[in-house]
Amino acid sequence: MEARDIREADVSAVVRSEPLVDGPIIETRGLSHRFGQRWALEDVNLEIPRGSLYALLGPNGAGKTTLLKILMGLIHPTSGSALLNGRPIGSTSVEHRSRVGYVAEGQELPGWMTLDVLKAYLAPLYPTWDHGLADTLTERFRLPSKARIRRMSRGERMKTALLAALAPRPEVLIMDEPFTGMDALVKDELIYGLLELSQNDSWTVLLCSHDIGELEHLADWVGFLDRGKLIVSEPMDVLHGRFQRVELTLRPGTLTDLNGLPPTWLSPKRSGSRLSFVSCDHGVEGWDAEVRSVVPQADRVSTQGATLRDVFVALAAEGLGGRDWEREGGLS
Amino acid sequence: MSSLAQVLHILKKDVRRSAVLLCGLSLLIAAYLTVGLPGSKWLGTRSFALPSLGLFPLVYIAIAAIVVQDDPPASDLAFWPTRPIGARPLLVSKLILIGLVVVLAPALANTVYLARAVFDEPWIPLFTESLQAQATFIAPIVLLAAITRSFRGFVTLGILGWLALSIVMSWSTASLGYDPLTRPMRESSFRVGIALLTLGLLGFQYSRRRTHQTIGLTIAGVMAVSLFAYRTDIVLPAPPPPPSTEDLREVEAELYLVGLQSQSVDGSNPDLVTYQGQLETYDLVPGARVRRTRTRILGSDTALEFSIEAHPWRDGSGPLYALGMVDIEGIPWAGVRDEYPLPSASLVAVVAEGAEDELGSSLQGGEVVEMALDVELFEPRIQARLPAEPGARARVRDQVFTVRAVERSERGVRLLFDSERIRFPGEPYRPHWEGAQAALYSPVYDELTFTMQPGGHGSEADPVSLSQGPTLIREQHEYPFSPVPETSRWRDPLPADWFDVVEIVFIDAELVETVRVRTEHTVPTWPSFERHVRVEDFPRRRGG
Repeated sequence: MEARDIREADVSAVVRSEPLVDGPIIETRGLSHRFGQRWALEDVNLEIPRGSLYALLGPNGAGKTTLLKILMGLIHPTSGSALLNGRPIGSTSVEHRSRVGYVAEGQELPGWMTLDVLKAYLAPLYPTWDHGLADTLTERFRLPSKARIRRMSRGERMKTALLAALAPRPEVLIMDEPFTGMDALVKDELIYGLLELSQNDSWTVLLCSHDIGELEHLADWVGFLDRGKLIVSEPMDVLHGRFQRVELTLRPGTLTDLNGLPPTWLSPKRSGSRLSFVSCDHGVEGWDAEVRSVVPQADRVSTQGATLRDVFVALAAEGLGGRDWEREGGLS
Repeated sequence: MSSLAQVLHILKKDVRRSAVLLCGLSLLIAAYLTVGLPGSKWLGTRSFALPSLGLFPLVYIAIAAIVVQDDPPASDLAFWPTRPIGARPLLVSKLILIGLVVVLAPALANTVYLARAVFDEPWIPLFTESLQAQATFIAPIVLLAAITRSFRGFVTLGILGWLALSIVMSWSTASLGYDPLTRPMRESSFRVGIALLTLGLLGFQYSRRRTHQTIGLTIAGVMAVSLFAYRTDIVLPAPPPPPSTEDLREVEAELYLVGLQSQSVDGSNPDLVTYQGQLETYDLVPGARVRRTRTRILGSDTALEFSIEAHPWRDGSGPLYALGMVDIEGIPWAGVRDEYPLPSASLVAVVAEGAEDELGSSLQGGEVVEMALDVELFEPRIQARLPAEPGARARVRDQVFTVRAVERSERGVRLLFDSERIRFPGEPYRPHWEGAQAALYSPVYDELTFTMQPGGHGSEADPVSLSQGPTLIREQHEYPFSPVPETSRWRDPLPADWFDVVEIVFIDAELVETVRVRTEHTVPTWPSFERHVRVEDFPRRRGG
């Protein structure tokens, strides 16, 4: 089988989007957004299952923040639509904003307010505001109630933002780089707090972070954006099942050209007699046979589960290498 | 939460946010309304007017900017768009607070301040002018705050916008200069246009939060409103026609021509020949002013159009004894006379001016000159009487005069007083005392009458205003008097306490009627005529 034929035949194995049983709480259809001449998002079709903790990954400039802002109604998409519970997300929809919590790096908070004043201001705006939860989070995050927000540390401000987003008990919590600049202790507090809340209340969390190691423990769904295109969107366990780190031991002098490898072999690297890559279709019937047919010179094949970081690096490297996901139909 | 409840909720938050500035502003306004301007320049203390004029707008701008930018609609990092806050309640609450605190309150305070300073001033025009001007001033600031993400951006764009708007406004509202008839309409249309435009743009920006589009619409809108305001002069009513000079009441008079001079009276145009004379009008009140004349040389076909104007009669004798001439609305008029109350009959001095060859060749000794004069009759009127005591106030036309101090020393008496007037937007500066001649008069020592020249040793203080719109213009005047006033009219020495019994009398003149005077006069024969002009200087040119 020619390498080219393999690439085209296995595209569907790379690009994947898992169907949802209950129907998504958030859904985008053909969502695109352009800044000037540059497309930040292109034809994104995303489905986020209800009650999931969805990690949105992607390299810098992939369009993650743009996607989250559109889902919050902060910016208007150039084309396509975004739905919450099947209803279009509008920038002026008060109802939408009462059901979605939003925490983002750099988001402005009313710095002149104290935490108490902020809570008193926000509580009447939400019919679902949970005073008990707000007080619990204040205590748990050890936030100063009387200090002005502008005088708080960065971590305290982020926790304040999180409190303001969680206390209304939103259906969906959207978080854009919430851990940036936090020390490990604060980060742990936030992460485990989030996990606990998410498990207890079945909230849907859409999280975007560069802390991939943390996300691996948190998320149960993963999406990957590259240059505005959603190329992966699937449950974490499925992702772990099909993405495997593969290492082949080759006979000397064989397989000098890596260009002919299947497209499902992501980020292949040759180091001496060893060829390593991340396979995105492990577990598919005939996977072993495919390996043997592509690299008959392999003496030894070893696989181990890819970490989320491995997947991220592999996909990002493919993107940097100029891989045309659109022509291939994306990875999701 | 209902929309109304949300409006009130945000309003409460914004009041709390700007509480310090609101308290400061309240104190500042209260201080101005209760204490007023402390000191004045001629007392050696510096007026607060200049800093306050800059301070008030800065406070207004700061409050408007803070209120709007606390929930900035231009920023996608802002807090409020991530919260269940409706754009409409948000905008309404902002407009209510800004409207109440930064527009209505200053306009009211300004009205109270001005109406107290210049009493008897109708307060409704003051209030509406202040309100309109303040709203026009604040509206672009609110819009500016709504399309900028930070206070720094607001200030930068504000300076640029202010420069641009100044140019646009000067072009659209002042292209024809100040005109009391058209200015209010032109300014009003511009103001209403700006207010409506701003509301529309704010609605768009808050609901859509598309800043670049809002900026584009703003530029286009300002140009459109300016053009509209500029064009409104087309529909303005035509100015009233000049009064008809036909069917005027005819009045008997006698004309005494005194002589011919080869230059105009004031020496400004040596090519003119002036023919001076006196017109004695028996049944005219003093202050008559000749508007025009048709002069004909009898016995010839020549009809010459001479302009003849009243001119001050400077001789110290006669019934019209003038200490000084005043200029009331451009009308030469003897302001103060011996008689008090004022006399009811007088002479009017006339001067004929004409081209040298025409006048010289036409007016020969023995010839009869027939004249028809249109005479405007002004009646002197006492506007107000003001005791020379500190704190005494009187209103004369649109000005209020207040005696500030009367200082006595061996060198004499120094009378210090302010004159205050309200200046409306667009109105050019005009000196105080215009139309209000004052004289120092004593009913006890009835020969004591001084003309107080406009201005005196005065200076204009800085204009004062609590809002945009009408401002208070204050001038300070100083009049020194020697212990015993030096005048040729004194026959007996005055006692030392002469100043205690004087009062300041403000006089102006009111147009009563325009009448026609017909008169004939035989030109004197030489040589009396030659005392001024040699006859051979003029080439002879007889009519026909």
